[in-house]
Amino acid sequence: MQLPPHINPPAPKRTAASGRAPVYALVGNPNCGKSTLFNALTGLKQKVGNYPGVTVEKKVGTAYSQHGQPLTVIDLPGAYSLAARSPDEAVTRDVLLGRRSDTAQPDRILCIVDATNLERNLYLVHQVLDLGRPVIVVLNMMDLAAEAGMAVFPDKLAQDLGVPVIPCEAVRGKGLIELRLAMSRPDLALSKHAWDIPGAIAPAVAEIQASLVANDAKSPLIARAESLLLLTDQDSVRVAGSTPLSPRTAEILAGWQKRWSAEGMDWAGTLVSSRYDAIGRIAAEVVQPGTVNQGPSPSDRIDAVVTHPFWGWVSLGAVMCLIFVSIFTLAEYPMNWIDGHMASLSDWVKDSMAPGDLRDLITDGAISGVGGVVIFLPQILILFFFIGLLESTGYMARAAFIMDRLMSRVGLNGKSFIPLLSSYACAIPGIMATRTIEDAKDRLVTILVAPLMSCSARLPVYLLMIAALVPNERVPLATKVGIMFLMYFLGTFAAFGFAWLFKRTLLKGEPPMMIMELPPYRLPGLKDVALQMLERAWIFLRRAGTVILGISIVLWFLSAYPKAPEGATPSEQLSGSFAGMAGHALEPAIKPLGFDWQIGIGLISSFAAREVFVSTMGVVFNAEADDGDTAPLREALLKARWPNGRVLFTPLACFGLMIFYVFAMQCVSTIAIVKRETNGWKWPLFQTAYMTGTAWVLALLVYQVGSALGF
Amino acid sequence: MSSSSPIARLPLCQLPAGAVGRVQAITGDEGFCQRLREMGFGEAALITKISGTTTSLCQVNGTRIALNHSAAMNILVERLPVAPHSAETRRA
Amino acid sequence: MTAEVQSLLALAVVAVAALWLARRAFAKRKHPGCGHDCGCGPKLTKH
Repeated sequence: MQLPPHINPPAPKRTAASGRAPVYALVGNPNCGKSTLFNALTGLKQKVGNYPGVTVEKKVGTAYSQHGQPLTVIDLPGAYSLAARSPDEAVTRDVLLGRRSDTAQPDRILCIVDATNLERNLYLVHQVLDLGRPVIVVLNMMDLAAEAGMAVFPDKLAQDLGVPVIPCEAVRGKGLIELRLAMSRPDLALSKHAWDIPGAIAPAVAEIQASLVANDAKSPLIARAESLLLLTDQDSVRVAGSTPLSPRTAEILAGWQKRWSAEGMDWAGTLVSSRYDAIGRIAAEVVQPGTVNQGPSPSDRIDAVVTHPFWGWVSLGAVMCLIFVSIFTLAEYPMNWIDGHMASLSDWVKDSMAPGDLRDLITDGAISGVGGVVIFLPQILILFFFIGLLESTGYMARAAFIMDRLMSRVGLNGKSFIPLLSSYACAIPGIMATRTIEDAKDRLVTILVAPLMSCSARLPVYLLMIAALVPNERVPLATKVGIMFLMYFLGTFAAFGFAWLFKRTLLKGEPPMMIMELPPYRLPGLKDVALQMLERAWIFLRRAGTVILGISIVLWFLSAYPKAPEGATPSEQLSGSFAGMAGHALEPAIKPLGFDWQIGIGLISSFAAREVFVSTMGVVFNAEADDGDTAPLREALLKARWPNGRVLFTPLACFGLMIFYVFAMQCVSTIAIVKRETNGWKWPLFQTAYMTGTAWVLALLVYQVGSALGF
Repeated sequence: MSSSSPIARLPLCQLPAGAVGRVQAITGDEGFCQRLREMGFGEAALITKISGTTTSLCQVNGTRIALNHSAAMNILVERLPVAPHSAETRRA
Repeated sequence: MTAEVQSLLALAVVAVAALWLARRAFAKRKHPGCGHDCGCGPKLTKH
């Protein structure tokens, strides 16, 4: 390993020589195939966590070298440049620069490069090489480059950059052996790449570098890379958990920027263009562009339709319809299967145990509570399947493009649509997806409205209410899908409406500028989609088996105690129980909405998570089923009456309840993530208040106007 | 930045679909200009407009890039007399 | 199993469930996060 004379070798504890396996960081532009390569390298040996203080996913996996030695690989968020514009890029920058206390600076860096777009991808590589760490460049998508008629020469690139370059097709697993071999090497050469820092900027780089070494305890090479970065970081994105600059360095930096501003020099532009000059020279040697005129590619032809001002909307609508219809039709068989097995399990317990509290706890508490939620697993998986499919084929970015015009009407841009669409599955990944939004106000507005998009936890509530609303088996599917669509539309419409309101009042700002890459269409990575679905299913089942089981058991107790005197009807028992008392206490507030104290119990218990409403209804109303068998919940609901004999679940009440659940912030997890993302209680409390307030007002309107109209 | 160029410039959003242009100047938010340059959308870049007047879709260096209206208004281009999909501008 | 024994066992199960939920809620406050749901946050078993 030959080091330039002015550089001290890195501290020994960071090198592989210490015996510890080196830690690799995986970096690359968005859409360069980074996740596929990460999955291919690490398989199922992945751990997904979070960087403390930011909602950016931290993915760490274990890969094995050719000799079976485990290697830690950190998958860093995709970035176009180390001059971060959004929180996820800021995490990538801070991990690479060793600014995060929670993640040790990686020993070696794997740079993934899209061979079809070498020049732009090399920009990030160029910045990474400045860091003075051993780098392996992975030239991915060599097949696509060949298809486009381009000739790419990896050896030439390796020679120019002075680091190993591995050609690769991550999707097909080609080149992985060579990559593992390179990763297993005990030592890797440092890049010899040199580029000329523009003369006018050189003194500033030197001064900041010296200060970083003296005041921020950085090693000289990192300090040089960081000083270059500080000069191009316009309005530096800071994320929680990162070490700030020392005051002295910040002062020197501000001094130079002030001087250049006064002289009218565009230092940042100068730096970018001198980097591109250096890259351009490399790219000219490494790539021979295709010379044949191939006409429009398949991607071009698809885009001509799906980004068309009219057909784009039609195709987006068709995709959404397909998703919702699938949720209803495909899921029916597995749902009936789960339903049947839960019922027979319950009956079996009833047959094999003597009557008593423990039997009731198992059947009315545990089985009906957990079973009532697990039954929705197939539908939730279908939803996640489609969202995964949209992401992996590249259609998601087109949807954002189509939606940009609509989003700009409410003061946001198309990028906010991707978090909103993910929120159909769950608001939490949705809110995590806002990390790609550059503008802080836009990000906050998107976070505030994202939970209005109907998430999969609302699905059980909607489905139960639709079942109670249209009990007839012969009602056409279209009616059910129509009602469901209406709920999703209402949530979406409200999200846009509130975004418009917030952008005009609380969080005023110009619609920010947006630049977004539309990746070429790809065949869906079914393995990656399946992996994601498996993860979701596991999370859902774990939740049903832990939290929801616990809540169901406690809820059973609250509805079974204190015991009513001997001979009381199940309904009197429930009314006098702890849960009944809470429900009765809430009744004055919800009676105008057409809800009684029993629904009140459901509203209270589902504040933690919406789907608990269904299991609560199972516990509350199965207590009333006086025959021995477990009646399906739907029939139990239809038997429910007000004290004066009126039907409780009238179509109007069901409708009102659905409306309530569209708007109400009934999700502790979302409140927790918003609190963390916004660094305080102000915004999550505001969000809970505005959402639940709106829910109450609209449910009131529905019930009162509906009753007045005679429904 | 070349601010006193004599060539007729028009904002990117007004470049007709199918036309090829060369970026002359980018204005507006500094951070955004920097990101444009870093993504290869800087001065002298050749772009093919694909569609759109409010949200623009362009092809730059083999990549398809969408820009919203406020971004496209800040990119001034010079229209070039080159047919779309020529080998020089299309690589992917 | 008599009704009394069943009641005692049921109450014991309820107490365990309640304690576990309470501990979980408390542990969450010690490690502020996003609620460990929908693929977010470290695994709960670590606490």
